[in-house]
Amino acid sequence: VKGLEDQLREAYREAADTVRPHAIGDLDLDPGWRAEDTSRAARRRRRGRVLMPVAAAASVAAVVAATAVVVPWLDRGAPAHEGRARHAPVVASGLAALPQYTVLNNGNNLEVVVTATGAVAGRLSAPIGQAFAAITGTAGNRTFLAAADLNPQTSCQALFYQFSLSADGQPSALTRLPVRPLPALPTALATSADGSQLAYSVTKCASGASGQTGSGQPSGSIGLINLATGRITRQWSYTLGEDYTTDLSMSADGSLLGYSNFMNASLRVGRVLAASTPSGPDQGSSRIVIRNPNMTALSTSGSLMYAITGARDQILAAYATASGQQVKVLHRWPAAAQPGPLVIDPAGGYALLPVTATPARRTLSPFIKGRHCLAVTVHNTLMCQQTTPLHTRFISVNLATGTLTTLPFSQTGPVGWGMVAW
Amino acid sequence: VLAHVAGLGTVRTDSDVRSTIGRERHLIDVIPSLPQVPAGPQELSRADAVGDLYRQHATGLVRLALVLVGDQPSAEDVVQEAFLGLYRNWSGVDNYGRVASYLRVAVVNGSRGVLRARRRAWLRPVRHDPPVWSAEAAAMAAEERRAVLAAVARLPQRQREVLALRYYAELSDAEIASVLGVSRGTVASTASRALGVLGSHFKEEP
Repeated sequence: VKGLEDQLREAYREAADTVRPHAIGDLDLDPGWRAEDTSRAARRRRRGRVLMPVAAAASVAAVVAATAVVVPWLDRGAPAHEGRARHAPVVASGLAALPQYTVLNNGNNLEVVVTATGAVAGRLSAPIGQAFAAITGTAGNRTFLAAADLNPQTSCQALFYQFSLSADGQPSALTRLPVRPLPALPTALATSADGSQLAYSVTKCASGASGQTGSGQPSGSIGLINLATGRITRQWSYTLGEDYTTDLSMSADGSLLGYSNFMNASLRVGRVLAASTPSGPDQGSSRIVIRNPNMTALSTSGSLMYAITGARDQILAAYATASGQQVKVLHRWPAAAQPGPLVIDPAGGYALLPVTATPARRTLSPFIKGRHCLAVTVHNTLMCQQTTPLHTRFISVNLATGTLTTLPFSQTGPVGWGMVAW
Repeated sequence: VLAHVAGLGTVRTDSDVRSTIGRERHLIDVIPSLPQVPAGPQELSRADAVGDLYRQHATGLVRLALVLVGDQPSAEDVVQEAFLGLYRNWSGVDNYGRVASYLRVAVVNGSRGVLRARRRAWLRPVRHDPPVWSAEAAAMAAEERRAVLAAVARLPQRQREVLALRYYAELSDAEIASVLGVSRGTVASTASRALGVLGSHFKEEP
C-alpha cells in the first residue's frame, strides 16, 4: 500500500504541475448572463477551432458601442484629482521623448517596436521548448534581459538571456547569461541601469527540486544575480506559501528593489528591499511602503514608489519610499480599464503601462450570420455569441506632469505580467 | 456562516479551521485567522478582497479541481464559480480562515457538479478537454502516473474524492470527513476500498 500511496502522490503532483500559475485566467466577478456552454472551458475549447462564418449585426454594434465608450478614454487625459485640469491629448511629437524602442513579449517571441511609430523593427523567437516569462531593459534602451521557462509539464527551469538592439532596432541573437538554470518558474525580472545586477522572482514548481509546493515551506523567492560573476548573491524567500511577485523593479544603481506581494491572506503591500540586506524571509528583510497596491514600480532613484491602487477607479500615484507618504497623484483610470505591469523609463521620465479595456465581453444576438459568430443554444434557441476580443493598448505617463500618451501599437489579448519592457 | 453560500446547500464548514489549514498548506497556504474583516480606512472593498484571495489561492484551488475533474478549463470554471459564490455572499464572511475552508469545499462540490453534468451526456452533451492523464492530452510525461490516474478515474466518485483529498491535498481523515460531510469511518473505509481496487488493478496486495 505504501508504494501505491506514493504512486498516487506522485501522479497527483504531476497532474497538478500541468497547471501553470500564470496561465490561470483572471477572476471575472461580473460574468453577466451565463448561458449554456459559455463557460471558460467552452471558450477555451473553441479557441483554435473553426468559428462559424456568420455575422451578428447586433453583436458588432454592441462591441462598437462598448469600444466607443472605453477607447476614447485612452486617448485623452483624465483629471488626476479633483480640481486638476484635464490633460490635453498629446500630439505625436510627445513620443519623441520616450525610449526609442519598446519590447513586447507574447511568450513565444519578443517583438521590438519603434515606440514613436509602432513599426515592428525586429522579432526574436524563444528557444525551442521555452517561453519568455519576463523581460527588462537597461539604460540606453539597447540591452535587454529576459527570463524564460521550460515547459513545466516535463521540466521546471528558469533560464536567463540577454540580447541587444542595433541602431535600427534589430535584435541580436539571444545569449544565455552565465547563471545556472533555476528549478522554478520566473515571474518577474528587474535590472540595474548598467545591467550589472539582475533581480528575479521565481515560484517553485510543485514537483521541483525542493519537493511539493507549500507544506509550510516558502514556495519561491526573490534573488539577486551579479552578472559579472553569474553568482546569486542574495535570495529572499517569500514568507507566505504560493506567494510571488510579478512587479519586481530596481533602482538605477541597483541598491533597492521594489515589489508587491501579500502580507497575509487579505492584504497586499508594496515593499522596498535593500539589495544589501542579507538573504532571508522577504517580510523580515523588506519594508512596507504602501498597502493594497495592484502594481508597483520604483523610480530610478529609488526615492519614490509608483503604485496603482483601487478596484473601481484605479489611481496611479507616487509614494515616498522612505515614509510611505503619497507625494503625487498622477492619473486616474476608469473602472473599465484594467492596467497591467508598470514599467519605468530607465531615464526616469515616463512610465509605460499596458491597459486592457474590458467592455462587454460577450454579446448575444439572434442574427446567425457573419464572421466571428459562435452559434450557441440558449434556452433551446440558437443564438450568435460574439466575444469582444480583449485588446491591450500601451500608454505612457509623464511622471512629472501626469500627462497621458497613447502609444501607436497594441496587442491582442489581456494584459499580463512581463509583457513589455523599455 | 457560509453554509448556504452560492446555493451550495451541501456546503459544510470546518469547525476547526486552524487544524485544517495546517494540513493543506500546499493547496491553500497559511491564512491567518483574523477576528473579523478589517474595518476603517483600510477596509477592503468586496471586489478587492475577493480578488486578492483569488490571486493568492487560485493556483492551489485550480490544481485541486484539476485532479478531480481532469482538465484545466473545467477546473478553472469550478474555481471561478467558487469565488463568485464567495463574492456574492461576502457579507456573511466574518473570518478569513473560514473563507479558505469554504473555498476548498466549494471546489470539491463544484467539481462534483461538473462530473455529474458530464454523466448526463445523454440529455445534453457536455464537451470538455481530455483529462491531463489521457494520452490524447499529452500533458503528463510519465506513463505510469498517467495509468495511476486513469485507474483512479474509473473509481466511484466518493472514492476519487477521498483519494485526491488524502494523497493530493494531504488532509487527515477527519478533515476529509468534514469536507465531504461523512464520518471518519466512512472516509477510512472508502479509502481502503479504493486502495484495494487500485492495488488489485496494479497487482499489489492492499
